[in-house]
Amino acid sequence: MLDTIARFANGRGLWPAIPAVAFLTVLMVIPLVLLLSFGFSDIVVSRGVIVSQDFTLDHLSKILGDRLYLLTFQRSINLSLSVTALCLIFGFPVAYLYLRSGPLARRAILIAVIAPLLTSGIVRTYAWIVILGGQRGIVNRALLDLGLIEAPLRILNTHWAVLIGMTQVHLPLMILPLIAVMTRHDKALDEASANLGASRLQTLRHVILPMSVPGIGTGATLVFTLSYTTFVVPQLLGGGNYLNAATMAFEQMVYSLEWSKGAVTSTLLLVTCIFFIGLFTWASQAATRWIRQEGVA
Amino acid sequence: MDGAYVGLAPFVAIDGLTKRFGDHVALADCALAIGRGEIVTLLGPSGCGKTTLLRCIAGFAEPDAGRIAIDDIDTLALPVNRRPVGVVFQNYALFPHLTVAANVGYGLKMRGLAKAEIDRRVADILALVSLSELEDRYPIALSGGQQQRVAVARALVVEPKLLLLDEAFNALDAKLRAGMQAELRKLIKRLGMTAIFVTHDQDEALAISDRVAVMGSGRIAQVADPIDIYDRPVSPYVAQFVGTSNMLAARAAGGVAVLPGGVKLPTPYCGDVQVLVRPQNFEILDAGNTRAGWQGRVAFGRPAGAIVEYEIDTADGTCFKIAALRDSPAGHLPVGAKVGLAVRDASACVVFEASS
Repeated sequence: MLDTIARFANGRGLWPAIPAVAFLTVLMVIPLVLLLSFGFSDIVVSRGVIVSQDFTLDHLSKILGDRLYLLTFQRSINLSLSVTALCLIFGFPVAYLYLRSGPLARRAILIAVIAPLLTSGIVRTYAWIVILGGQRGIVNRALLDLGLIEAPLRILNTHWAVLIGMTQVHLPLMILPLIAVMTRHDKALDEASANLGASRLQTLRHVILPMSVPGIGTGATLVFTLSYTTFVVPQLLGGGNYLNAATMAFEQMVYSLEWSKGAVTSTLLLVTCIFFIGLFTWASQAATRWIRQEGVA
Repeated sequence: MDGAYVGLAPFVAIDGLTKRFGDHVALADCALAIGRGEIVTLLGPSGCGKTTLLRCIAGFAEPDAGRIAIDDIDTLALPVNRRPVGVVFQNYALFPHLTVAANVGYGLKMRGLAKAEIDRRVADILALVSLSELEDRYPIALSGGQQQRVAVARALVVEPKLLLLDEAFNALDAKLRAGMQAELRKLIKRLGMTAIFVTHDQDEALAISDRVAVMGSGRIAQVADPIDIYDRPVSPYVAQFVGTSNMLAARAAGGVAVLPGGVKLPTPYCGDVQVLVRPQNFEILDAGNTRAGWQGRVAFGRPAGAIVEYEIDTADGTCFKIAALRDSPAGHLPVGAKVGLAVRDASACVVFEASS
């Protein structure tokens, strides 16, 4: 007993983790267990209070057999993978520019990347409504004025609006981990590469890109997770007729009050999301291994 | 004798090289000629411009003026990745994501050589630096000395005309350093490679080079072989940077400077002069000996292998740094002992103008 107290006072062992574990237990583990239990039971709610809860696998089997769910989850996965790919395509050059820049330009890039994070995602999403929206939207007006199109394009309330908006909202989360990698990058390695005959492009391909793989992995995980689970952007830019898995769970929980269905949808969302996080981690490790082996050639 | 390059047209010719960073002049009109197969060290304190000179040769920095020719090729006109120069970086800059073999083969791969050819040349060079059995390791799993050999192999395998080594021994512990210096010098000589070392370590410079270029404030103060740099420094700056030195004030008249104790030194200067006397050029006598030019007390004594290094303070506050053989009568003086000092060999002293 004395020994235990001494260890606690010394902060050794797992004791320092206790506050965080307690916090997460109350705010995450318990709600998650409740959510899971909703998905596996029939519940009767009266005046906001659960009056009965009986175990059943009906909801799960119904949903797994319903093509609507399959399509919705496919759409979610497609969307999130596309957003992740776009964020990488747009984000990597920014991080590379950061690597090549002097201290002043670096600060400017960092501010430009972080500034959007200081405004709420909802505000930024609304901004896209103004930009993409109807005949008077900036995009359509510009295209019409330039004579490139004859009738306004329908972008808002489509898959494209969601894709564009989500890419913009999540882009900083790809760039920041990449910048973190670039900050640690030793410029002597680039000089060594150039000295050994590599062009700038070859240095990018053989030194900078391989060493950015951990950053790409982190960024991709962040962007995918958020794109896969957010319902704000799809709701606002999809105009209510764009259904993905996160939107569906939200509507089942909040609008149609089908808590059991919503719980199953949420659980599936969680499980698939964890699966993809694992996939990204595996892919990033596999990429590192492949680069190392390929380098021998 | 003045250390200028003597021979055919120099293999490496650096002329009028100037580089400014804003107001700071990093290189001021540097000139250096190096013969084929010669090892030259740029020696100086940090900020003296030696690294900038190296970076200009390698193409990592762009000089504001001047000329660099290697084997009669205008090197400044070549882009950084086409220069015939191999660099061993200060902390080796090995690619952490590549194995030893891949690090060494990197330059050959960038040149688009066939895999079989790359493998053969990598195997050859790794055998040369005795690293064959470590080819599949990653740099992080190597000792400092092994990393340095990988860095040297990586620079040599592309067969550069000139090898540049930036503080190549800095990251090694003292014992390993001396061994690696000798190894590397032998290797470079065996390959007939021309090399420029950059270092702030005078022992390293004296140990490894055919000639030493002492730099200060962006200028090359003196270029000469290591013995001349030590015995015949051209300025007090060089004298004080290389080896331990005693700078004694004296007066010169009629072509002769006279030190206490009656030592006469021929000199072209007149008026106040400074005289360099190396620590081993003093004789330690008994206190009161009439031959002694100075009287003092031992303030500090430190055995350094076969010799003992003393600091001897005189009554007027001058501190002499003296070296004596440990097995000589003066090899065991206690702190506080009263002694007399005399210059052993007048011809080994160097006289400078006081203002220089």
